[in-house]
Amino acid sequence: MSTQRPDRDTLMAFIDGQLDARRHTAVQRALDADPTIASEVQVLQAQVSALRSALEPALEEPVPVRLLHRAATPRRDWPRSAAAALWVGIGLTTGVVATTVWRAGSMPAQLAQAEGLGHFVQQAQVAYAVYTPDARRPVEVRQASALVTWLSRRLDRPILAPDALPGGLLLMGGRLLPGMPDKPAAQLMYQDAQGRRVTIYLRGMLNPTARTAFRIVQSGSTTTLYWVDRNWGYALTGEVPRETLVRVAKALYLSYEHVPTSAPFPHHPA
Amino acid sequence: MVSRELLIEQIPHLRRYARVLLGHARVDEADDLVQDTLERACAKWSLWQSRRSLRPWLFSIMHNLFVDQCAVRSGANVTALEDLPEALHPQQPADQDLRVEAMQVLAALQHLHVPLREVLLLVAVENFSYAEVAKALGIPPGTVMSRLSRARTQLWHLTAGEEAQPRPVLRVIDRERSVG
Repeated sequence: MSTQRPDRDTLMAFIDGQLDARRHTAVQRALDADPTIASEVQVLQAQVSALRSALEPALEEPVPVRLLHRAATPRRDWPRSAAAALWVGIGLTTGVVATTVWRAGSMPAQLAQAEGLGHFVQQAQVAYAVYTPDARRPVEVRQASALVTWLSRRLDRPILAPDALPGGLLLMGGRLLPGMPDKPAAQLMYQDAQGRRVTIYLRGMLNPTARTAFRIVQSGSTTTLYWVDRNWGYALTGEVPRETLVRVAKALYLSYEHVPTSAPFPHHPA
Repeated sequence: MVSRELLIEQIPHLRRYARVLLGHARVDEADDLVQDTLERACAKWSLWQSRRSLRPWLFSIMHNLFVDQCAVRSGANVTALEDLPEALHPQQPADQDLRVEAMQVLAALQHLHVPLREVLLLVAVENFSYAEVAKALGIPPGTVMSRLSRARTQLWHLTAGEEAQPRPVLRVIDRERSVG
């Protein structure tokens, strides 16, 4: 075994984890034996740590929507299975991947007929992913009564926005989202004491859809609980325990049980 | 083809790399570079299918785009960063700044030449192997080591508050573009 002092390239390779086991052990032994080598390694290591901490914050920032779209938008010449996989790529569950491809703009009749619960859940999950990381403007309207009036008018039925929900969730506000043709969606955002955000996404289903029990899908650390009632889809999404989502779902379900699914409001021009 | 998930996972890493290349304050420009990178990666997706490692491939796309953009900006017909006059490297602050007290590491990083910064980021922060760095940047392994060594030495001098070494003129002229 060589007793030569490891050269600088070797020491760099040592701290960069680029040495094979045998050479790594040899350098480790040299380190242990010679404090001057140890101190050079320490300097290199400290520099690595400083760089990593200084550059860590950039990794934690939420990704701008335009970059998500760039990575996720299917190109016209991609096969449908690839496009379906993209929806998986946005962090959605593999259990509810739609097999249709949506193009911006027009919605051909045959695609509209195929629109179903899977697509609804995807929309809820994408909306969660897009808006909850936003620090500056997570919601469009904060004030509860203005929010309820606005969303109820646009969705053409009474929308509920309780100030608080089980699990210590407090209302932050909400926004209107495109949804489907003639079926805009509402997203309400709540936040708990730890700053975790939960969204309620709801809209009218485009096609008659059978009522469902509460269903849960998991996508990484994000859980979505959804159901359909009287052709309205409801989805709760968040990184909170399932039990919390179930409690919230039950509370909401009960609140909506006696709420009509069409407008009680007199129609005013928008 | 759950590989798309991998692409999206890399976006924060690409954003960080772009900021190291362009300067941390230039967030929007950095994101533009990321967007161009993603676009090109999507266009060449079928080429990737045969490769094993996504990250070096993605980073090489960004590196090449960056070199192209520098070339366009300088009006020069170059294929490697080293061929550009130093003055046209992004973020080349005036030398008189360098004799002050110890710099914060991010500021110090910006004082290094881009080719040195790149190698240091990829090895120390992105955990690329030396071979992956060589591949991503289209340079020989020996060049990776020499740049890494110079980067570390210069960074140390800057953050230790000593007068920086006079910047060595890069004599390595490599015309190899990495295979994107």
